[in-house]
Amino acid sequence: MPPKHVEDLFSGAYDDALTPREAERFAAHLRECDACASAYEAFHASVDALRALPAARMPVMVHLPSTPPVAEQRAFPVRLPRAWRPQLRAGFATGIAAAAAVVLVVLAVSHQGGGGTSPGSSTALEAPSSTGGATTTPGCPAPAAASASQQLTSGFDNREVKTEPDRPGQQLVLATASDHYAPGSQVAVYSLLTAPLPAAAAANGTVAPTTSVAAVPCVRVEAASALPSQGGTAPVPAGGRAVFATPAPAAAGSGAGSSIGAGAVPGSPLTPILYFSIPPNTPSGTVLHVVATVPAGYPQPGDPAFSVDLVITVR
Amino acid sequence: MDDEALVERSRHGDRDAFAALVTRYQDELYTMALRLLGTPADAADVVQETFLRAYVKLPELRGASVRAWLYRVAVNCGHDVQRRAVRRPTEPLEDREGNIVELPDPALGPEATALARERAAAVRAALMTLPEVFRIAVVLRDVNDLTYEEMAQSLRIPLGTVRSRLNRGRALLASALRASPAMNTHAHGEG
Repeated sequence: MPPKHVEDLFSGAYDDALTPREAERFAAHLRECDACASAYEAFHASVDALRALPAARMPVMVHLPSTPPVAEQRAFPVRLPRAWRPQLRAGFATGIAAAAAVVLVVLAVSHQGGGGTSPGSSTALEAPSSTGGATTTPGCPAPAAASASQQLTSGFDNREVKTEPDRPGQQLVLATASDHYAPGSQVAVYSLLTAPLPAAAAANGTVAPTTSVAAVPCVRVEAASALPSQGGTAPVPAGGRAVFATPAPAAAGSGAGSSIGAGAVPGSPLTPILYFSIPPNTPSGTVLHVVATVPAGYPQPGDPAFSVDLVITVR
Repeated sequence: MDDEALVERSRHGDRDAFAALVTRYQDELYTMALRLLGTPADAADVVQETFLRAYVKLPELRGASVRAWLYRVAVNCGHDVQRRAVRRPTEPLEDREGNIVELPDPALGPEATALARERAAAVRAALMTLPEVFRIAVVLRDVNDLTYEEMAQSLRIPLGTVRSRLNRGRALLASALRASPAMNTHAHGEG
């Protein structure tokens, strides 16, 4: 098995995307290391095999609406439920966050390379949360409103954005500082929910859409398979995953003398919505999924649920 | 006529211009969806839904690559279709109505054709073992030949994440294929 720093270059080498210096070092290393050369040959062959699959053809005709495309345009396609509007006038960022109060972050664990997961067992990751222990959605902290200028962009190497074409302007973002973490390290998870809201009518009677941003306020963590250093198992509820913790609401980030902010992104104006620690003996290659879901029926009755899936790989 | 011109005409109510976009992209989006989901029926659903969504969302497409935007819509549709159809059993790639979904290479003999089919099935099966995020990265790059920049646009992730997901996905694919008996079988006359 090649060292990770060599294996990390395989894809770039395949695509001729290495810098000249990297390419030179990579070639030199393969000349001296038979195991690495053999592994790269297998890597190359497998990508070649995938690329050799024939293209497929759409077997049925695509049906389009009989109306012209622009006839479907709506000025404000997303309108919040009537029940929310008073709150939104008072402070709509908070209102949006409150509407998403049942958003869940699900931490599912899958380990590459076999071993399998046991649907009948589960285990908790280490959450430095004062709340700890199995809990459910009740008791969520008050939503933390964020200004519209705050974005999950700089400082985040790992970011997932989910948008719905049927809900223009609405997006759910999950982010962490990195997409690779070593066993034992603490991970801070950030989230923003953005939704379009109608602004006050202008003098000419037109109404322009505006956008509010808020931190997703309520999370819980579930684990679907056992990780090392976690011996205990617990009954798995309906849905196949066990809840193990909700994050500490105000403890995140700024608590003086608290170690809880160790995994946070320096300089970020946002407070992480969730911290968790990766168990020390977690095998390299273990993949963690952090999934935030906006429930069905939001913002309009009948809307399907949608979620965003953020992947973290253990080094 | 290029994509941008077709989109512009579509925005002005030209349905035929949008139909031309459908003709241009339906097969590659179908191929992407087929590799992502593994079943022709789901893949066709994804393509249909992608163009329906794109049809009513054309006004939002400003300043972005049409191709990357369509892939973004298709990936989201694929995710939704997969969630809805997660319990649907896998179907063969040849559909039951006799439509040829994937054409065999006529230059190959019967034995080589059988071996190629077996290997292709092994590759498809290996691909389906990848976690979805890695499978998407591999499919966009190695099936649809998107550039890293197009992938970053389509998935709305940084270039560094594109690279790491692609590397990880390809490594997982190689690992899955190493374990596949079909890939270790050699035809007569081969090494």
